[in-house]
Amino acid sequence: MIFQYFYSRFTVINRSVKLILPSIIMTDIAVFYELKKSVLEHYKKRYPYFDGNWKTFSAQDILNLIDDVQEQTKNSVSEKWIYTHLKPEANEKLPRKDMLDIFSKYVEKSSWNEYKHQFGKPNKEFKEVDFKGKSKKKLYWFLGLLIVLFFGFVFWKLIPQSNSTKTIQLKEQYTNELIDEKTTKAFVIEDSIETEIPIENSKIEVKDNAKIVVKNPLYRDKEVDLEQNPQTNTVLLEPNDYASILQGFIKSDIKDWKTRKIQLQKILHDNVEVIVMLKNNLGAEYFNKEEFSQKLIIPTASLKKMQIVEVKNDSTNKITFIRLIQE
Amino acid sequence: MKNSFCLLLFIPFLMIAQSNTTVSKESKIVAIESKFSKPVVLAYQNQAINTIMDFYNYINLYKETEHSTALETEIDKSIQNLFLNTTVSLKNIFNDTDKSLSLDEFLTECKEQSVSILVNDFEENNVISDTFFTFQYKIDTTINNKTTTYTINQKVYFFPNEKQFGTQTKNVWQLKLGEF
Repeated sequence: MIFQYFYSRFTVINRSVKLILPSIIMTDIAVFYELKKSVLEHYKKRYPYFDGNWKTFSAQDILNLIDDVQEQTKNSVSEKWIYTHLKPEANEKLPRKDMLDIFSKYVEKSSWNEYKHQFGKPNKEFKEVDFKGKSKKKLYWFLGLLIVLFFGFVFWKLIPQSNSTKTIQLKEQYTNELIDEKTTKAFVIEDSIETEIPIENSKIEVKDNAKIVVKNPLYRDKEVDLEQNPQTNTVLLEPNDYASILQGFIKSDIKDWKTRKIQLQKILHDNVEVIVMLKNNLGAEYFNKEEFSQKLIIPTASLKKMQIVEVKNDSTNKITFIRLIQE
Repeated sequence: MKNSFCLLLFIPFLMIAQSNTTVSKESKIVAIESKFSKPVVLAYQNQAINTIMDFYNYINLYKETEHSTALETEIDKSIQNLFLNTTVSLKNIFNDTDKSLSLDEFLTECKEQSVSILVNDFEENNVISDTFFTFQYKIDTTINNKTTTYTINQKVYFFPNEKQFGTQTKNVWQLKLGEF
C-alpha cells in the first residue's frame, strides 16, 4: 500500500515534469544553473582557499563575492540577491536580466545573451539531463524511504514484544460451566509451533497479543488470536457431541446395549482407528470399528478405567480416530 | 542318501513353520524379547492379564442376560474378539474329562450351566516365548452352588499382523488369547 502510494507519487511527478519541460523558461533556468556554476568556479579562481559549493558558501564568501563583482564589473549586487538566487540549490524563476548580465560579465562574458548563446545550445539535451536529474532525485527519495521502512520493520520485529499479560477463563459454551482442567490443554502458537501453557482453576495467563489454542477431547479445538480480539477474557469451548456420547458409553453398564449398538454405527467412521495407550505410554493396542464397538456394546470393568484423550472427526462429524489412556 | 539327508536337515524348520501357522499365515516370527525392551514387554504382559480378566468378566455376564439370545450373541462376539480364533482348545471345566473344548463349545457350556468364575493368583514368573506369553493362574468355578478350583496355564499370543481398519490396513502388534 505504502509502496503503491510512493510509486504513484513518483510517476505523477514525472508526468508533471514532462509537461512543463518543453517551455522556454526551463531552458533559461537550466542555463542559469550553469551560470551559477561558472560564478562559483570564477570565485574559486579568485579565492583559491575556498573549496566548497553554494550550500557551504558562507556570509564572508558572499561579502567577498560582492566586492569581487564590484571590482570586476563595476556593478553592485546585494547580499540579499545572492542569498535569494545563488545560494539556493533550486531556483523557481529566472532572475532579472540586468542581474544576469552583471554575473555573466563577472564570468568574462559580455552579457547574459552571450552566456546563454554559448551554454544554452544543447537545449534538448539539457532538458533531458534535467529531467533525468529530477527523476533520479525522486527515485533516491523513494529508495531512501524504502530502506527506512525496511529497517523500521526489522526493528519492530526485533524489539521485545509487549510483556503485559491477561488472564483468560475457559468455559463450556452452552452451560457456561468451567472446563475441567485435567482433560484440557492450552497452547500458545508462535510461528506455527504450539507450546503448552499451564491451566490453573480453569484459567490461563498469556501475553495480551498471543495466539492461543485450547484443546479438550470432548470439545472442538478453539483458536483465538488476542491481537485481533483484544477484548477476549473468556474462551468458550463448543462440545464435540459424538465424543461426549462416546465418553458416556465408556462409563455405562450393560443396559441399553441395543441403543449403543445403533448409535455407535452412526458416530464411528468405518475406517476408525482406536488406540489404547498402555501405562506410561510403553505400548499401544489397536482396535478397528467392529472390535471397539463390541467393547462398548458389552462394557467391562477394564473399559471403565479408560479415558479419552484425543478424538478426530471427519467433515461429516463421524469419529475417525480415538486415543484412550488407562487411568 | 542325499535326499534323506536334505529331509533330515529341513525337518526342524518344517516343524517350526507348522507350529506357527496358528498365529498368522502372513505374520513373520519376530521374537518378542528381541523386539521390545523389558518394561515394554511387561506393559504388554499386564495388558494381556487385563484381557484374560475381561474374558472371565464376559463369562460371568451370561448369568445376567436372563437368556436373551440377542444379548448372549453380543457377549459371544465380544469374547471371540479376544481370542486368536474360535477353534483354540480350552480345558473342560464342566466335566471330569481330559478332552478339551473348542471356544464355541466352552461358551455354550458356560451359557447352559450358568457358570460363574473367579480369577485369582496370577503367577509372576510367566514364560515368554517367541510369539506368546504363558500365564499361570487359578480359577474358582461355581456351577450349581458347587465351587471347584483349577490351575490354568494359558497362552496369550503377541504378534505383528496386518490389521484392517475399514478400507485401510496397518501393521500392528496384537494381543490375542490362546489355548488353556
